[in-house]
Amino acid sequence: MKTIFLLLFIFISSLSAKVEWNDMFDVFDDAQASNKIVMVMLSREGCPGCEYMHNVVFEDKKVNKLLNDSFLAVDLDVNQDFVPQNLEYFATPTFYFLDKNEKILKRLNGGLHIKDFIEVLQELNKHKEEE
Amino acid sequence: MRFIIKIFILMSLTMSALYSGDFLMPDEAFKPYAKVNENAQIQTGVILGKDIYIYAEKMSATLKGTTLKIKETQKPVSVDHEGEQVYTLSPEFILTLENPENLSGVQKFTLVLSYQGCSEMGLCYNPYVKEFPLSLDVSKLSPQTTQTTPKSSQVELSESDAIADTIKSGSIGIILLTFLGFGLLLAMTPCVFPMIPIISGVIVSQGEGLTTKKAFALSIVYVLSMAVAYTIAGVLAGLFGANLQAALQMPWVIYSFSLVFVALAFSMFGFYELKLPDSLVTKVSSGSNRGGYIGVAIMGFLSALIVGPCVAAPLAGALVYIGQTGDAVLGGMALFSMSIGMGLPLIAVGVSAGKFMPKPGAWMTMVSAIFGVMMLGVAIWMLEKILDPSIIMIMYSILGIGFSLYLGVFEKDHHFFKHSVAMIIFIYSISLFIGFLAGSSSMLKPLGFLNQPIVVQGVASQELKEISFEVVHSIEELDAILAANKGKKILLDFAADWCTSCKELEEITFADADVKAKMSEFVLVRADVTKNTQKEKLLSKKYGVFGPPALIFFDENGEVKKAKTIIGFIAPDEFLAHLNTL
Repeated sequence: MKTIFLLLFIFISSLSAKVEWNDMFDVFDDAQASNKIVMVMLSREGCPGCEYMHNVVFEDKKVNKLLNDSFLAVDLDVNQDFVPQNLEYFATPTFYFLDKNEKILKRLNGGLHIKDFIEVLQELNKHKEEE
Repeated sequence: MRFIIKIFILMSLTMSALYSGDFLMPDEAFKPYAKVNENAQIQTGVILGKDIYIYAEKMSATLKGTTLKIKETQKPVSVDHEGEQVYTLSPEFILTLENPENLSGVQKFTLVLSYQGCSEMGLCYNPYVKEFPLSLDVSKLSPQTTQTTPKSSQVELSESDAIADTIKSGSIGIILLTFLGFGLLLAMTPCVFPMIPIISGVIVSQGEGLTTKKAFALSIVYVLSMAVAYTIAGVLAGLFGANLQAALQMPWVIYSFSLVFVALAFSMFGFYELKLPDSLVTKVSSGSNRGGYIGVAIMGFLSALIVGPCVAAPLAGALVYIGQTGDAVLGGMALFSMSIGMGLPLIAVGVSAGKFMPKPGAWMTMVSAIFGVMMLGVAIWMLEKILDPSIIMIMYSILGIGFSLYLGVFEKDHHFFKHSVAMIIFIYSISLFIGFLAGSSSMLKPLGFLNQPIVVQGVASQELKEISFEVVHSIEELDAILAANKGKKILLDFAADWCTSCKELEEITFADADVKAKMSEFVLVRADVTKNTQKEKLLSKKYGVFGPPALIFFDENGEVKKAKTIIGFIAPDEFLAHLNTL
């Protein structure tokens, strides 16, 4: 019985892969090593757009595979976490995509639907590979 | 669950047009403003862009750089938006100011408006704090704002404080007349009803040869001694800040008084004649008939016990006055005047009892018996304050059964009227008896247990939604509850088992469905002062309560709304209207 549960658990968890969230503190060290793009999400509690991104967009298999493979994702709560000064925002969610040298590649005000968000990620990825 | 609903709503929103990146910039989304209007109020708000909303709890307006204060903020109605209260239409606050430091001329100050909102497109804007320099002619403040909000500008007084003030400022004649009026009004309350059989019984028990004149004299003696006792108790209570009723409600006093009535009742039944010992009578007076007067005086004196528990605003007002000024003379006169007012209808009752007293004979025996039963009823009624309701019920039941048997409920040769009355009393008493066996404690609905709905428990518990009080006995317990319920409106009910008006409040006012619904908006706390312990006394004293019932209201900040205090019984519709002003 136990094994069945275990297998079931493994099966389910493999279905719903999660976005791996990184720590802002050392994310650029990782970026140097892996040459991945850093995605900083600025969010705040109770913000419907942020919840939509977390509960819908990031739950999508394709999105979280893309993010985990080619990006280092960071989630900062603007009310609790330190937000670097160059990452300006007037609303949440705001997304910043930065290269390993902390140069801003793209700023996104507000969230996007799965399809559009994938497009943005793919474009950034392609752009990086062209370099 | 709410979380899942939120996601669902988010997903089902017309998102295709959303998240397109075409968001309103903050200065397009929110256009804040503030101005002073012609009523010297501040109007401030935010004009919202398309699909923008503001969280109701995140919007606030405060003043800076002035001693002017905001007295009242009128806010628009918020709507529910995915579980949050929000303003979707450009919200405007109207602030009414007050001038506690008595500034004059045109005052400059800063209005600080803060708000935070989101776009339906799923974007939440940063919180904003905007400052507006404003100026206002202070002279316009008080009079005009008083007109718009007439209630709140003056220091409000509770009814009893207002009455205390009347005594301070009024002339003696007016005070005495006013209190006489209060007394007459109180005479119409159930508090005084038990005295009706007492006075009639006392008069009737005088027996044959009673003239109207003597009946009148006896009634006056009765009322005067009642008033004197009442006044003495009141003045002492006022001076020492004690709980008047508690002083009059010692169990041994009640037991003995109750026994006096039982004795009186049996004398009515003709078992013996109730008279002071002859030796005493001769000592006290030379006249032959004076004994009757003394007996009546004692009765009246004891009857103060009955009206004692009827705390009403005028009584409390007089006590507050005595307590505050130490002037026992004027306060005492007011109290005396009030108790005379309460007694006037009793004098009328007494006189008519004497006047219509039947000639000796079979009728006389019957009338005496009826009064005897009433006396026993009063005796049980006295005990109601200290004994368990179910015991009281069985006592009434036995009394009723006995009485109906005396009336001859099973005998055939009676007038049908007498027979019906006997039967009704018999059936009611039997119901009480059955009710007692079934564990019911309601005199009015002894068989109420038959009515209990047999439904699925969930439904039943909703229908039977009862208001419930948190019971406290000390300042500490109350403070803990006050602290735990900051931000909520609190109703504090002083009550005691022996308090008649509290029972009325509970069974009439608090039982009203509309009142119940309204009361559920309050945190309900009951200060139970039945035992009148030291802690309970301190609690009563802290809130200036001379005795239950008293209803004290606290606002969201835990401050007592003194003007809203209710003393004594209040009818359901009045109470509802009162609650609606809170």
